[in-house]
Amino acid sequence: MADAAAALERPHLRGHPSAERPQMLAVGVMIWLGSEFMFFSGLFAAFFTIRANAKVWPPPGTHLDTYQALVFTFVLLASSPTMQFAVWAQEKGQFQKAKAWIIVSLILGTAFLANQAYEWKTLPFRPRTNAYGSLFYIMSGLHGLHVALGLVAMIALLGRLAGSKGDPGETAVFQAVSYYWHFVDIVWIGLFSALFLLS
Amino acid sequence: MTTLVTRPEAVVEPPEEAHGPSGLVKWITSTDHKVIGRSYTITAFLFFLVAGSMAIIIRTQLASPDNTIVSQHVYNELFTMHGSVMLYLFAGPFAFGGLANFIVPLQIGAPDMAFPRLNALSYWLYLSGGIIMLLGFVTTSGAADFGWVAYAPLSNSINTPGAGPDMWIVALVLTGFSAIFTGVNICATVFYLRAPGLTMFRMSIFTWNMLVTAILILIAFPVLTAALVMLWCDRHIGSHIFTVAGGGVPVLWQNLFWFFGHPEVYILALPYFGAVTDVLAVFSRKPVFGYKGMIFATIAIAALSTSVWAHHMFTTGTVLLPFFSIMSYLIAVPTGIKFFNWIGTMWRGSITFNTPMLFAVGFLVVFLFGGVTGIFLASPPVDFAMHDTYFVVAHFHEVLFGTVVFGGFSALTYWYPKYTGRMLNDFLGKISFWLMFIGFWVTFVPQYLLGEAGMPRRIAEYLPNMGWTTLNRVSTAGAYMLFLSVAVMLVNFVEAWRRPIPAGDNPWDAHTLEWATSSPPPHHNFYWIPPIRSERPVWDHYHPEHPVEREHPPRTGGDEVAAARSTARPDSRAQFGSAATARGSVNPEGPSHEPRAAGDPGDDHEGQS
Repeated sequence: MADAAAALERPHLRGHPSAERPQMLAVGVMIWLGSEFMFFSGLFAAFFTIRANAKVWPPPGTHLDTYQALVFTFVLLASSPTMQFAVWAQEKGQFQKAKAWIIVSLILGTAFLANQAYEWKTLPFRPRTNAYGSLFYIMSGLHGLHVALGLVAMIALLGRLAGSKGDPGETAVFQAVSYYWHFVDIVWIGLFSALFLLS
Repeated sequence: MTTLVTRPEAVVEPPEEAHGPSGLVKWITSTDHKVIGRSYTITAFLFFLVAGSMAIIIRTQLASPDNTIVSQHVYNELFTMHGSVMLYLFAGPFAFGGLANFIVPLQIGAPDMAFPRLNALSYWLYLSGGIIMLLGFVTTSGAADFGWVAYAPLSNSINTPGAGPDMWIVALVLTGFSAIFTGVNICATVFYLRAPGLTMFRMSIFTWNMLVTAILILIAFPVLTAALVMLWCDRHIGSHIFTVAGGGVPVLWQNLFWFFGHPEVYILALPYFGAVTDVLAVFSRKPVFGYKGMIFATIAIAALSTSVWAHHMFTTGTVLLPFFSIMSYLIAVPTGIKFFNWIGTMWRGSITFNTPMLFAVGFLVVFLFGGVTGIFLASPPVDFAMHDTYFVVAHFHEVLFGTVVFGGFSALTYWYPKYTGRMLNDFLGKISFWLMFIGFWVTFVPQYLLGEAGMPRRIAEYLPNMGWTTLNRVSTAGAYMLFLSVAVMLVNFVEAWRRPIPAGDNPWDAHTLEWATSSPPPHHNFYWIPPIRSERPVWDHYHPEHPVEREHPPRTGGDEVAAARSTARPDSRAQFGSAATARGSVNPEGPSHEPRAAGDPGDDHEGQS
């Protein structure tokens, strides 16, 4: 589908091998996400090293509301398909539909962040309490930062939809943001498993 | 055969138009890979001079026992910043910022990098990171003084308080982002913007090494960023990642740091390996020996480098010694392949010893000895004896100085004509080389001996009765020779600037694409690109008497191909020149989108795509 859209945008290249290639921006973002993957790997390495060195895990006094977090995990995961629907709509030129799906994703992402803020405010432990607290706040905080940047990117996409239609680079931008958003969602599955389920 | 060759006269170059602003505004706003590459090279070279001056102060302090030229605290700052500036701000960015930016797009026939604005961002992140790191010296606490590896718990807020260490952390995060963005850029550029006909296995070894380095950066640097973020949190929000108190693990820092740090060694080395490979081939008048073996050896080194980090941590008692020892030894295999290929490249070539070639051969010798002492250190019993002594200092200086400075000066003198359009003075270059080569051994051989005599690294003073005085004196004298060598190189740059000797397009009769365009190249790099039928397109074009060696058997087969090969080549050369002119020029918007080599009559007979 992405290839077809790329070919549509570059009619003079139809049939030429380069028209079949995915867009450079989208590929560049994919490569960059590889480095983001390594970034979170470093955090997970710290988590599992500290967990392996601990006598009791999690340390006594750690109380988490796993069910509430699970609900908002599904909220965040639901925003991945809605973002993808936005990209598919944009590729077909249905800009109103694309805009609606982005607003839905934006709301879901904001709800997730709001829950995280609530958790941070109400949890009984702090980063300086113990190593588990440090890991919890650093890992969820860095992930939350990524979610927030994704929301900013979605607002930028809305701005882009408000302008002139059919900008040839536009599909690539939508794809790039969606790749990033899927990545952020998948990382959360790992973080949720580590911080809530393994604790 | 002449050494100075020109492009076909059929190529008409339109007069260079003014592109946007000039001067300072151009420098600040430019997204041109050549401007950014040049900025990177100059900035990195300035950092080299700064860090080199710190080394001179360190060596002066150590020249006599009980010396008090600098206080112990300042000495700690000096060796920390010497290491940090050399590794993070010079060695990496000089190659992966400067050479990668300037040379890679030219070598693959591209008009610019894939993401020019991201590229500009990379440079400005790097420059601000570098300035922030050095500004640590003017804070009340002084600059970071926990060594360039910042081991926990020495680096926490109790043992190393103050703003200087924080600025070191921030500077590293910024330069790390800069490297990651350049890595993304290089990957996308190499995947997407190669000229028609330039398949992956026709790229020069330099470009290949840059690609592998880019991938290694994407693997290693983010882990350092993660570790730095956690260190910063430990220092500022009181978290317990690297402190025993709240259940943290101090040795975790070493694991994370060296997971970055060992690949970093190859991130620094591989670009220079690539540059030296090109130089050896050009000045031996031969193709690279074992071209594909060279590429696979590079990939093997990169792959192995991610699983050897704990050989820096043998003495911590927390790592599996046999595994990391064997993995470290294994790296010697692809490196050995490279060495034999380098020797094979020179074997029976018609070698000319210009300055770049001298530095390249100097690199071979120095790096070989550094590599051999590395094999000693990969053995845990030897490492237990030598850990944290001057033997280790001598080893990594030999490896790093060998690649980064000998390889870097080789690359710099080799590409200087392409950067500036002017030749460097070969005589001054040779003086600079011999001063450096002799000075190098005088500096570092005594340090091996000092290490064996038990002198620990990172000490500001030693007693007269230790028996280390003479060797330290010799080492310091060697350091002054190195300083002199760099000074001669600077004089050479000034001479080239004051009394320019025009270089022409291809002064070395080299074979890669950057030598097909003018020196320095025009705004979008190429008005004309030769047909690319091998990994040596420029040589194939200027030396039609040497038929192209084919990677694949011709598709059409039979005698007509042989006939076409012997007769059509001079024709094809002339016609391509005119065809290229007829098409105007290479499309600046993106050469990879162009139907490949239209109008080249040789196309029908070449069985590869």
